[in-house]
Amino acid sequence: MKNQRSVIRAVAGIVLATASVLPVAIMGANSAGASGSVKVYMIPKFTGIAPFTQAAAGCKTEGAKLGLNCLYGGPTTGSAVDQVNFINNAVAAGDKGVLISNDDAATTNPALVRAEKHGVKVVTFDSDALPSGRTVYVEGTSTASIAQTELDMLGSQMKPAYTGNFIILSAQATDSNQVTWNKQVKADLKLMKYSKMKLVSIVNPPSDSAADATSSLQAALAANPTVTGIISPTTVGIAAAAQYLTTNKVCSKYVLTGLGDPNQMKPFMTSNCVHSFALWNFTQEGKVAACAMSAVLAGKLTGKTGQSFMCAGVKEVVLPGQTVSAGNAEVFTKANVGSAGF
Amino acid sequence: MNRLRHAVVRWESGLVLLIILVMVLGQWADGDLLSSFNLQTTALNSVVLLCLALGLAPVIMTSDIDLSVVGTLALVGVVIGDLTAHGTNTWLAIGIGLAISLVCGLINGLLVVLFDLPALAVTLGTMGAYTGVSFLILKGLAISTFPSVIVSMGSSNVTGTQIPFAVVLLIVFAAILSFILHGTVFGKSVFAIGGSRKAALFSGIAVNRVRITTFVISGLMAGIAGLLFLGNYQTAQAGMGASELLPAVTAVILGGVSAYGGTGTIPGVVLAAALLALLQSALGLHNFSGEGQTMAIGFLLIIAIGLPPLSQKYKDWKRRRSASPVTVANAVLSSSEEGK
Repeated sequence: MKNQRSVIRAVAGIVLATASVLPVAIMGANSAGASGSVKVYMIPKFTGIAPFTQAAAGCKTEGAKLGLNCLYGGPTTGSAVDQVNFINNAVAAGDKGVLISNDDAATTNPALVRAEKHGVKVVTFDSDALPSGRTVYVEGTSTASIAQTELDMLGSQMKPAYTGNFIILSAQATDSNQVTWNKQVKADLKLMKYSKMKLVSIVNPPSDSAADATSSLQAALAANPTVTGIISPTTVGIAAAAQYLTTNKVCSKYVLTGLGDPNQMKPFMTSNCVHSFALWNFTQEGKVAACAMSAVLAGKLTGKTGQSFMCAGVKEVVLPGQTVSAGNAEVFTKANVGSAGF
Repeated sequence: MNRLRHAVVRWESGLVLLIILVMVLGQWADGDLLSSFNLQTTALNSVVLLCLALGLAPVIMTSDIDLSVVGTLALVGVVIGDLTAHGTNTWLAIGIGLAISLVCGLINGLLVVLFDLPALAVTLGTMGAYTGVSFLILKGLAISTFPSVIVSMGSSNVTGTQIPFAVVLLIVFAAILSFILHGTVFGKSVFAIGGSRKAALFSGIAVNRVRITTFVISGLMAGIAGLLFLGNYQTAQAGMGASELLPAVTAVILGGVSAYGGTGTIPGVVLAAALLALLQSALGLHNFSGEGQTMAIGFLLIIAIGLPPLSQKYKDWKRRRSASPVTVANAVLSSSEEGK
């Protein structure tokens, strides 16, 4: 009998506790934005990192000018299955559009196609879906721009210039952005300018954690003693590599460059361990995504190559592959890393 | 035993109450929670989680754990995907996939029981191993076209309704598992082993065989989860389903299965999975981001695990305060007996 009563009490406790939390939660959340505006939902790969927060800010400010209320939310870890929950929620809540950076294009596709069937427009940003699951894709910058910037940053610092062996410290092998960029780097290496640069190995750590990036880098450098250059096209990877070189006091031995977060990389620039890296402007990417969504909702943009729309005074054009490029990769050096607006 | 059953029934009614509460509050706040689209898609997106949880429950009831279920899920998904992509008959491919899941479960069971190794360590290892094999099979690539049989199994509705076929399938599985665990000698053995492995051994229960069987059940359910994952998300790759491990364990514990083994019911696990799905959907509809949802679920879980021992402690303390030394000694004795 005693056991039973204690469980009853436990259950009653849970019910009461939840009952007290739920209304508070419901009052606390921002359910509605500016009245009369069209609700669209922006879903990042996961929340809590600067690039997506900036993209959301861009979407909010530019969206507001266009009569869009850009809501923002997503999973806390990079989970495509969780993203499906958010897609479904947006459809069920009657949002008119979904802007999404896909964790995994294939996994989210059925949900995106289902959303489109319910009249919800889909614009992808940062990381594309399958073509059947969206109208247009807004990329932060073009693959060509990234590959070329990476090779130029590395080559110009090599001694002698544009000569030597290098590795790419990438992300997980399934990351579609990384695969595309690295493929472009390989293709560009055939150009005359880079003919004396040799890509020895592409390193794919088992997860997107700094710890795994570090141990993978360590193994790769040990296995390839002739390497003098490292390109890391991930914000996690380049920061982990910079930390590794600093800790082991071998900054002068290697040229490290890639795609990084200015705030995170500032100390390594100051200590002269890293001299240049690149990134695109995520706020701009969010703005262009909002403009694209607005144009799609208005029926002016259907994803045909050559179609165009205006965004913050700039004319954006749809490229082959239904892609819109939000700008060029921005190179950061010691001179401008402090003034980066993000 | 009768008392225990009563207690567990109360646990489930608590979950039902919570589900109703979430439904009412959620519907009141946004009005879209109970729309047929939302219920259908929410159910569909919880299928993989529930399938894993159903398989995990018997293992946790015997006070073991199986972390490798997501590895098995990926391996089965990848094998079925790879076979069908190369023209193998769909049903044959499904058969091979599910057979592999049985083997995966058997390997776990044998390693844990025969070599007397901790289940946590063994299944952590096999999780990596199974995921690794799936990675080797596809070499990091993904398959995204599947035979229509598999797709409709995972994502279509029962003809003429809005009810996903996979959900019906899982309810049937849950009913079968319920019968096995709550209506057979095998089920009694599972709970006895979870209560006290030694006592179960001394009372003549084939502890090793029962424990191995729970791992095989867990493997098979993970394999079925892999099959349903293919149909629902139409993608097969090495990392698939990895994010579903912790939510599945959450559903099992929230369902009233003690993390120490020995108690719990299958209907409880089903209700907990439904509660988690509805809560997540209600919060999502109210524009809560992932952090808010994760916090709410974590909060719920801590209360679920923490309240029973807390209320027990409180009662002991109250009794000790009001009783004479002799009755205190008796109470302590009896409560320690009941704790078993």
